Amino acid sequence: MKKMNRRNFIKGSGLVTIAGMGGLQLGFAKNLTKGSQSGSDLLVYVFLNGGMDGLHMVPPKSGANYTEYRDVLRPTLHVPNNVSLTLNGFPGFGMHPAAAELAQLFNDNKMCIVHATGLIEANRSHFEATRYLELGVAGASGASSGWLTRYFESSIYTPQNALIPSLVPNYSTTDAVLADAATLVMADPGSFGLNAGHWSWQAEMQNTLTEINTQATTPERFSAQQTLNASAIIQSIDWNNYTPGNGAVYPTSFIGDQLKAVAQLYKANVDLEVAYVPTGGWDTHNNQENVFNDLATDLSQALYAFYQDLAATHNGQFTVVVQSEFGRRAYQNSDNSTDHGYGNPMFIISDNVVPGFHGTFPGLGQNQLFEGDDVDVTVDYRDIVSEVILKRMGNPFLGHIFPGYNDYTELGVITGYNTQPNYDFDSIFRSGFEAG
Amino acid sequence: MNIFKKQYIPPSERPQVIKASQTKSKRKFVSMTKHKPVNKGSVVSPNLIHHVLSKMAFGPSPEDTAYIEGLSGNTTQDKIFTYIDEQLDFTNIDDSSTDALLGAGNGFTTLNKTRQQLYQDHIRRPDNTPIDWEDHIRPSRETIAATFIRATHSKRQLFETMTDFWHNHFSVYVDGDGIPGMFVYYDREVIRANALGNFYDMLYAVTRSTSMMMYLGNATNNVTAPNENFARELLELHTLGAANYYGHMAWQDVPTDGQGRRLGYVERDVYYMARLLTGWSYDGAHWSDDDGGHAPTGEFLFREDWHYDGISRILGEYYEFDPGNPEADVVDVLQMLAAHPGTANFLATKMCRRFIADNPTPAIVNQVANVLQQNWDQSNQIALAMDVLLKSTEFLNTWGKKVKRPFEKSIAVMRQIGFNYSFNPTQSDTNTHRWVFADSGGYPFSWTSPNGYPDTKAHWLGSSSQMMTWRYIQWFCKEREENTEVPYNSILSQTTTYFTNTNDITANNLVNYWYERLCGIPPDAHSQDRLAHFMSLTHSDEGGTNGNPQGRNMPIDLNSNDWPGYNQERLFALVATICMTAEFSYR
Repeated sequence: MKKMNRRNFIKGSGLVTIAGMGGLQLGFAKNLTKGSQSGSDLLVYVFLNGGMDGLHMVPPKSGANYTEYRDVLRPTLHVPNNVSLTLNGFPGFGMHPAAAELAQLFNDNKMCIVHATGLIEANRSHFEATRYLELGVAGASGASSGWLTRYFESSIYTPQNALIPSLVPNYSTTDAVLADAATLVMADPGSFGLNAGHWSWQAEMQNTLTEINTQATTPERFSAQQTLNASAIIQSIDWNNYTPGNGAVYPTSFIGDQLKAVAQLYKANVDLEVAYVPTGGWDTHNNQENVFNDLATDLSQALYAFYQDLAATHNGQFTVVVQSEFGRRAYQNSDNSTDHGYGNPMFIISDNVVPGFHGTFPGLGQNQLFEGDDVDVTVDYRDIVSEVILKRMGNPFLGHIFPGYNDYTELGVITGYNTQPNYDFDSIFRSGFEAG
Repeated sequence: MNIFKKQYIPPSERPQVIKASQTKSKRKFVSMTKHKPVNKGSVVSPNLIHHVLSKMAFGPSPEDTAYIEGLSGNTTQDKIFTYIDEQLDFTNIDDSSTDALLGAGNGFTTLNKTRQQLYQDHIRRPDNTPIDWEDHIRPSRETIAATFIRATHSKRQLFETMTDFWHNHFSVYVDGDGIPGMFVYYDREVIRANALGNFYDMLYAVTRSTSMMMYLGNATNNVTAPNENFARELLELHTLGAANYYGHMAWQDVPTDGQGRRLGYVERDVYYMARLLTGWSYDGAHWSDDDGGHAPTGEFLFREDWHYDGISRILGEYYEFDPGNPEADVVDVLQMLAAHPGTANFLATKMCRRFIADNPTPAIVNQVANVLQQNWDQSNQIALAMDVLLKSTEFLNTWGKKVKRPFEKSIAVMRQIGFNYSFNPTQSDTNTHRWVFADSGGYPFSWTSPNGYPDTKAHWLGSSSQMMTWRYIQWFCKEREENTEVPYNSILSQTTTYFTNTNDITANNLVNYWYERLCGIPPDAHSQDRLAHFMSLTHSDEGGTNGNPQGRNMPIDLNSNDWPGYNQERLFALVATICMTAEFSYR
């Protein structure tokens, strides 16, 4: 059988030698199911590291939830209902005033909110919960690749020779792309090249290093080769002279720089399909009001600028998903702040969202809280991500992307392709191909 | 303290340390998805001294290599065992030459300050007059500069790699709120004081330290509504580890070992741990601490009125507060945790991962864990465990299962090229090092979350950390003293010492000599060809594979550094490029 080698990836990234990297099968999926669909969105996945306080970002605004929130759970920390911003048509919840641009996106029907999402099994450890989300697993597992790695393994639309299909605009990488050697991790495009040496020799140093690594005899040489290939592309783009669409203004903050880099790279036509954007600081055990205020301001302004920028030229062709590893404790702590919790809202920003709130808010009454402490989870976060993958990315292989997941439930958060979930990717390819 | 949040400085406000000279690539772009690795290579292990110094030290400096060669012993392994013994007994190694670089003449004025001096000079003055930002961050800048100096120059190399290990185990983000002013104390009295000593002592010191209390918020942990932050990380990151976390399970359901000891912890244990730690604070953490004219000192302070005075149940055992001995409940729990086999296993796994392989064998982990556990109350517990680890066949025979992280790689280059710039917290050049290196994602003490820098290959093969580390190496290998133009390295003198006949200084010979010096193995034919091509260029315009280089066996005049050949710069660039190869990255 013809060997398909659309993509190469290093299984277990260094733990397994390249002997394990055979001919890959992904072009098969491409030919099998592409049908008449025309391509995928740009997916931007914004991860709020540290545990964003959903009850502070999207606070209750009326009814029993508000009374419980104001009087019992957060007597000195709540956002009063005459301060939280109105979300049209939904009197039960408001938006934190620092996130005015998010409220505007919501009211413009460009953003929807899903209540009470999370891992189906509670875990209050940052590092465990984050790892499970990044690996796309429900709990402890031996997964050796990230969920985005497996998304690309099974992607239908990714071009055969995509230049830079995925970007992590950050100083360090993430397990979401674990074992995907094709991901570019890059915090600052302006310095992404060997341009710090003696003027006479620095360019030739990069050429020499590139030539050495063309013989990618080890995983380390292969990753160096990928880095140098990406550097050549990055250096050909004019990063300093960029005019965002619609007069959008990115805030002067790291999340602003990150999203601007995503937009610039996307518009440079390098086949960018997924950007994973980690942004930290949300672990507000102390001084929550000030810290949260600054973070929410930066996030809100950056997301709004990104939406405006891309909407000018790529209307309807991009989707932003915003998630955190968990919500925070419903009860405030002794520092007028909050500890780790469980259920939390997710945001989806797109021209194709089904506006409003989705999912079910479980309530804040003592007997409604998870173990009497946290907002409970009523929506498996994988249902949300899967809906975006099916309808906007056209990838049906949910069982491969999320191992063990077999009960996708459509919430109706977004419109798009009528792709039906397929949980059998692994068995299809195990029987159809021999590695090597 | 706002963890998980990195300090942000916009690119426009950063010093322009590097001329923007973007190089347009001449070649066609290559897809990141297209190329296929060729499976024909294997990782070749270097000679044993190079091997050992790359792992237990920050790289094989010419001096340390020569020192081991000169030790008595019939075999190289005998000499290395002697070296290990000496390194474990580090207080008997004279390191005065390194200490001499850390004096006031080089800008170090805070490294010996007491906890109270640091607090009152750099956090909050007794008279409440404001403290300049530069004064506030001075102790942290000195600690970082000292860390570069010690890693590069100290003869107590194992002590320095262990210090690095424990800083990551008990990770505190140096730029967190308030922390820069106290970081000298954390580095000196908490980490360095115990780096080859006793784990319980270090854990106890961490728990009482101003820096950790600021970072994870225990300073304001009050029984009225406990703050779980430190309590959770104490169990998950510092002692038992996530592998022994049973989540939302009933404590009775956690399995027990042969001695009836619970194997791990559950959410309820975090709940009690947070209460147990209430009231463990420092003087100055609360707004009322300056009542009555008192000047806060930053010293540990037990606040009994904030402390939980009931009974805590941790791992199924009960601990009761005793007003007559108010610290005893916490001390008992910390000792229980330090003596727990789960803690020993977690620590041993991390130590073996740091020094041997990402996935060390269970056999060596168990060996090291047993030594840790059986000696948990011994003052040299950690040294005993390292003795077993470093003399194991796993340590001596494993190569290439780790890659050097950005700091390790950069320091290894500095040690091998004789980098002699003396870091000085008052000099702008030291600040420039910070700017150029920080983007590698590996600047000391700058991992924002409390789990410390990752210690697996997968993390550090990401394109950002690779490129930014290469770029830093590219920059400092050509750095010269501003006024005299004297290079901050001994590449030229090392070269001319080796090549006694100047006619032997050819492109081919330079590549062969420096490659083996730096990587511990001879270059493969392809690398040799490309590097010799580079070294034989006479003009930067000759670049590319179709250049017209002079013969690779023609002598190169290293006294000349003129246009267009820039012979010295070309040699520095050659050395830097070799340090960017995959072969140099192994340890």
